[in-house]
Amino acid sequence: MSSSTASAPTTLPSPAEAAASRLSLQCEPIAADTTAIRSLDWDRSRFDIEFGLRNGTTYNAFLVRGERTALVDTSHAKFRDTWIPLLEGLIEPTAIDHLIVSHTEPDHSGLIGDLIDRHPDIEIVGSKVAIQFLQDQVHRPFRSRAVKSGDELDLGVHPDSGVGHRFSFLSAPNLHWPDTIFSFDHGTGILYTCDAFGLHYCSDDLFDVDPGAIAPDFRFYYDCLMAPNARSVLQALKRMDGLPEINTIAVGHGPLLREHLPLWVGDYRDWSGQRSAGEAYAAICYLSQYGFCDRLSQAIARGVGKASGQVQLVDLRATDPQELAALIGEASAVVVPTWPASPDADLQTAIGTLLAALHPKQWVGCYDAFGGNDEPIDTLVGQLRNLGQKWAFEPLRIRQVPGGADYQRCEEAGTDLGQLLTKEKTIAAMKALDGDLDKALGRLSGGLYIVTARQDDEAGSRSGAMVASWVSQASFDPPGLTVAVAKDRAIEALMQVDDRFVLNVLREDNHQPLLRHFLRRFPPGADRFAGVNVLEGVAAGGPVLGDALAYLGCRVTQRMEGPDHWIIYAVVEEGNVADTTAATAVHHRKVGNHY
Amino acid sequence: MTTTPSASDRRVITLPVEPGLLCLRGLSPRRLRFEVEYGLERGTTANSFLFQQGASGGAPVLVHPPGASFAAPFLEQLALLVPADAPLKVVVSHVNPNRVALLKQLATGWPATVLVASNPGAQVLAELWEQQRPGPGGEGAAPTDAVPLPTIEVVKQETSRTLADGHVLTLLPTPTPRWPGGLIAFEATTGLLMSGKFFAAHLCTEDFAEANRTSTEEDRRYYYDCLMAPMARQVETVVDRLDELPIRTIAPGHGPAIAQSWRSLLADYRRWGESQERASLSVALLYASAYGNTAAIADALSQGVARSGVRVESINCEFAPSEQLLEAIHSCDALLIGSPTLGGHAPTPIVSALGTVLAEGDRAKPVGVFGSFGWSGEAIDLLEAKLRDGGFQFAFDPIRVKFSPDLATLRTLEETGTALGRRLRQQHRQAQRRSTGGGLTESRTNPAIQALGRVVGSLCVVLARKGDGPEAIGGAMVASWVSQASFSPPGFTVAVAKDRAIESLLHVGDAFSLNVLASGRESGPMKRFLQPFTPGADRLAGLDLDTSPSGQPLLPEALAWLEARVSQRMECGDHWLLYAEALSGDLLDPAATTAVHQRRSGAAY
Repeated sequence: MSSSTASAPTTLPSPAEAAASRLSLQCEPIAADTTAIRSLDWDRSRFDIEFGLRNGTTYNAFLVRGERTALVDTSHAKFRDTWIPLLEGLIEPTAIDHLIVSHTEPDHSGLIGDLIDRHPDIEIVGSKVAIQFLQDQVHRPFRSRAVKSGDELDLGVHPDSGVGHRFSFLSAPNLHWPDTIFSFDHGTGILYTCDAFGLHYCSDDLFDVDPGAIAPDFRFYYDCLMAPNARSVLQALKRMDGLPEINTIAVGHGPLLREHLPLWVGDYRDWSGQRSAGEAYAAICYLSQYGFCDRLSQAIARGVGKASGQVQLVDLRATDPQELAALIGEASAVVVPTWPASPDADLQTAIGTLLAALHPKQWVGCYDAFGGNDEPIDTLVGQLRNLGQKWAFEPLRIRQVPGGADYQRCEEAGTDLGQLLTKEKTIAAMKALDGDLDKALGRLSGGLYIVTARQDDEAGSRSGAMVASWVSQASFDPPGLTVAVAKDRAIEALMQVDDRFVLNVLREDNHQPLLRHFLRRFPPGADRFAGVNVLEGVAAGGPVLGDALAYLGCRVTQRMEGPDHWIIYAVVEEGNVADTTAATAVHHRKVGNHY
Repeated sequence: MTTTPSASDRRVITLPVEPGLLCLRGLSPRRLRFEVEYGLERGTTANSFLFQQGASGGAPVLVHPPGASFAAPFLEQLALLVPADAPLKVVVSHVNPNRVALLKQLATGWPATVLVASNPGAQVLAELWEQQRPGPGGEGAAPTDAVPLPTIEVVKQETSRTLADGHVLTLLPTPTPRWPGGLIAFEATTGLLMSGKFFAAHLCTEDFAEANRTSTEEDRRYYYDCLMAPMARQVETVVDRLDELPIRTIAPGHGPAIAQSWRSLLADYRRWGESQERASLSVALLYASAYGNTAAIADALSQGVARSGVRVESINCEFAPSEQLLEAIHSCDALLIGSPTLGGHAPTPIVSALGTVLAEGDRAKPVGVFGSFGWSGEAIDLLEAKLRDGGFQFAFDPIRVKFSPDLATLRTLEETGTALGRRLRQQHRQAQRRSTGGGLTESRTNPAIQALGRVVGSLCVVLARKGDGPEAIGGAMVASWVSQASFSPPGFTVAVAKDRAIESLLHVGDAFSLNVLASGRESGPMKRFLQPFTPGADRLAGLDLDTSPSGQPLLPEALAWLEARVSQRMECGDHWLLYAEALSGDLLDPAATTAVHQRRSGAAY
C-alpha cells in the first residue's frame, strides 16, 4: 500500500497538513500537583488497524510536581509547534528533573529530543530496553536511569499542597511494546499506564464519564493491541493487585479512567482470562530490534492466528526470567530465533532460562534471525533435537535479506503450527457435540449471501468479502438484519458500529460460480474481486456483485458477542432487486457443526 | 395481616454501609407474579436505611420503611437497633395501604415516631390512615385499634439537614403520577442516594451491590418498561436533577445497589425514555393514586400498550394540574380511565376528570375503563355508562378486577393493552396509506424493502412454557427470522417482535423449543399458530404436544426440534433479538427438507 500521501509518523507535518487534520491541546489539573496535557488528534488516519473505529485519538502526557518535578511521556511529533510552547508556559523545561518514559513508541516519545535540547541534564527514567531503544531514536547523549518492578522514584513533598509524590514502577512487558513500564504515584493514587487500558477516542471529555459511548473503542483497542498478549495482561494485573488502591488510570490514549475504573479493569481481567484459560498456545520468541526478528516473528504469529491458534509473542531480551520460564513452560509450542553467537550476560541468562523451561511434549520450530553474527541455525537445531523436541515445521532458513517470499514462508509455517494446535481441540469439540442436536441444528437453513465491504481514506483502501449464510431479518422499523460473523474473520474488522457493508443476495439458479469464487483461499494481498462482475459506486458500503439477485446497503448499529461469532445488527439504508422473478439461493445442511 | 404461604421465606438482614448507617434489607426470594413488574420472577428485596445516631444522641432516622408483608422480621430487627422510646424519624416515600399498615405498627411500637413526607405524600398518608382497606374480610372487618396519626413533617421542597453524627441528609420531593409522594434521600458525606422506586430492580440478593452493570441490566430495563416508561417525561426531569448530585452509590428501594458506573444507569434511563418519546401514537391513562390495586391494573395495561410501540401518558387525577389533563385528552389517540370504588362511589378527582373527558374528548378516539373493587364496583359502572351515553366507542369491555389481579388476569390485561396498541398502529398505517394514495412512501414499492424480502429464513414454531401446574403459562409463535449463530457451544438467534405475548416468556435464562417445519407440511402448523388469539388465551390449549427433556412443549409434526435457553438479548428496533444456546435436539424426519420462506417484501414476515 505504498502511497505518495502516506507520511511516516515521525516526520514533521506541513502546516497545511496540520490544518487539514484538526489538532488541539487540552491542559487540566487531575489531582494534587498533577496536570494532564492531552494532545487531541481528531482525525487520526484509519491506516493503522487499531484506529479502525475512526474516532481519532489523543496522546496524553502528565506533569507531576513534588519537591522535584517529573513529566510522564510527551506527545506525537506532529504536535511539536503547539505542545512545546504549552509546556514552556506551564514550567521552565530546565525545571523538569525527570522524564518518565512509559515506552518508546514515537506517538508518545516524539518530542523527547526537543526536551533534551532544552534541558540536556534531564534524567530519563524508563525500562532498560526503553533506554536502549531511545538511544536509537534521539541520537543525542542523555542522562538516564533504568528501572524495573519494585524500583521507586521519590519526588518529595510539594511545598504548597503538602502531598508527597513517590512513584513505584511495574514492568509490563508486551503491553503492547516490550519496553513498557507502569508508574504508580502513591501521593495521588494514579497509575500511569500509557498504552495499556487506553483507547483511540478523541473528545473533550477528560474522564470516562460516558462508558457506553467509549466501550466499543475500548474493546476494539484491546482486541487489536492487548489480546495477542493476554497472558502478559494477566501478569500485569497481578502486579497491579499488589499496589495500594488505584483511583485513576491515567492512560496515554483517550479519556482517563476514573469514574468507572472497576469496570475497565474487570473487562481486561475477563477478556484476558477467557483468552488464556486452558487454551493451547504457541510462544513465538524474538529478540527485539535484532536482525529481522520482529517482522519474521510477526509473520509466524499471523500464520498461527489464521489457523485460529493462540499466540504469545515473547521478547527474549525484555522478559524477566520468572515470566519467561512461565510463558515457555506453559506453551504447547515454542518457536525460537537464532541468537547472537556471543550474547551479553542478560541474554545468556534468558537463553538458559528458555532452554531449561522447554519440555519434550512441546512442538518446536526455529527461524533465522538474520542478525549478522548469529549462532548457526544447525547448531540451534542440534541443541533442540537433543532435548527431544517434536518439530512443528522445518527450520526456516533465511539466506539473504528477507523478502516477501520469506515472510510468506514464515506465515505458512505458522499456519501449519496453528493447525497442529487446534486440531486436537477441534476433534474434541466435534466429538462432544451431541449427534442428534447437531443433526437438528443442521436443519436450520439460511440463504446464501456474499458480504462485501470497502473503506477508503487518504492512506489507502481496505476491502473484504465473505460468504455468509447465517443471516436473518431482525426488524421492520427500522428495517434491519443480523449477520453472524466468526470472530477470526478479517472482514469483521470492517463491520464495527457505524461501518457500512453490502449484503449481496445470491440467486438460486446461478449462485455456484460466485460461491466457488469467494470460498477460494486467496493469497495475501490478492484482489478478491478480480474476475467478478462488480458494480462500483452503487452502494456506499462496498462493491455490489452484478450477478447477485439483490443487494442491501447496510449500516452496523449494534453488535452482540456470542461464543465464537459476533452477531452484527445493521439497518438497511438502500438496496434493489435485479430480477423480481428469481428466488434466493438456499443452503440446506445435514449437520450444524459447519457452515 | 393475613399469612400467605410465601410469608415464611421472608426475612430481614442487616447490611452495614458505614459506621452508624445500616441497610435493613427484606428478602423475598420467591415472589408470585401478582404485579406486572415481577414478571421476571426473580424475587425482590425491600431496602430501608437507618441512621442510628448512637453516641451522638440525635434522633435516629429511618429512610423508606418496607411494606407490611415484612412487618414481623423488620420490626424485630428494628427493635434490636432502636430503643422504643427513641424519637424515631421515618422518611416515607411511596405511600400505599400496605406501607400504612406497617407505619401503624411502627407508631405503636415507637410512640415518639415522627413521619417525614412530601406534600402529596402527607395528603395520601392522612387519607389512608383513617381509611379501612377493602379486603377479603369484607366490610365487616373489625376496625383495628385506632392508632393516632403521628406528627408529619412536610417536606415542601428540597431540604438538607445535618444529623447529630455529622451525616448530611438531603430530601428531594420527586412527584410522579404513579408515586405522587416520592421522596428521595441523599446523604452527602457518603454520596449515598436512597432512590426509592427509581433505578430499582426486582431481584432477590443478599449482596449489597450488584457485581457489575451488565449483571442487572435486563432486570432494570424490565422494571423501567413496567413502571417508568408510562411517565417517561416526569422520570427524565427527576433523572436530570439527580445527575447534579455528587453521587457515589445508588441504593434503590428494591434490589441491589449500584456502586459502580452509576452514570451509565442514568444514561440508560434517558435512552429508554427517548425511545418512548419517539413513538408517534399515545394512549392517555387516567387514574387515581394510592389505592394499590387499580394502579396494578394500570401498570399491566400500560406495559401491554408500550410493547406495541405506543407511548403511554400517565395522569394521576388527584395531583395533575388541569391543563396537563386537558393536553393529554387532546393529544392522545386513545384514553383509558381507571378507578377504585370507595364507599359505593368513584373518588372525586376521577369524577371531575370524567367530566373533562365528556366535555373535551374526541368521540373518534376509543376509550376503556378499568378498576378494582372490594364488594361492589359502582365506579366502573358509572364511568362506563357516562362514556357510553356521551357517544364514546369502547376499545374493550370494562375491566373489573375483584381485589388484586391474579396471574391469569395480569396476562389478559397485558395482552388487552397490546391489542389496543396494535389496533391503533394499524389504523394509523391505513390512514397514512389513504392519505398518500398508496403512493411512494408505501414500503412495498421501496426497492430496499423489496431487497430485504430476499433475505430468507427457515419456517419454525417457537413454543415455550414457564411455571408449574396451574400457574404455568404457555406461548407459541411462528418464526422465520431464525439463524444459527455459533458452533461451540451451538446456538442460534430468533427475532421476536416486542408486542408478542410470548416475548415475556423469553427472558435471559428462560427455556423454549424451536420446531423446524418440513417443506410441504408447513401449512397446518402455520395456520394454527397464526390465527388471532383473544387476550390471555392459552396458545397451547388442546394441542397434542410432546415434551422435551427439560419439559418444554414440542411439536410432533416438526422436521426437527431444538431445545434452548436464552442467554443474551439485543434490542433491534421493534424486535428483540435473542441468542439462545441449544441444549438438546433431534431430527424427527431425516427424509424431509426444511421449509424456507421466500418473500417478495421485507415489510411483512
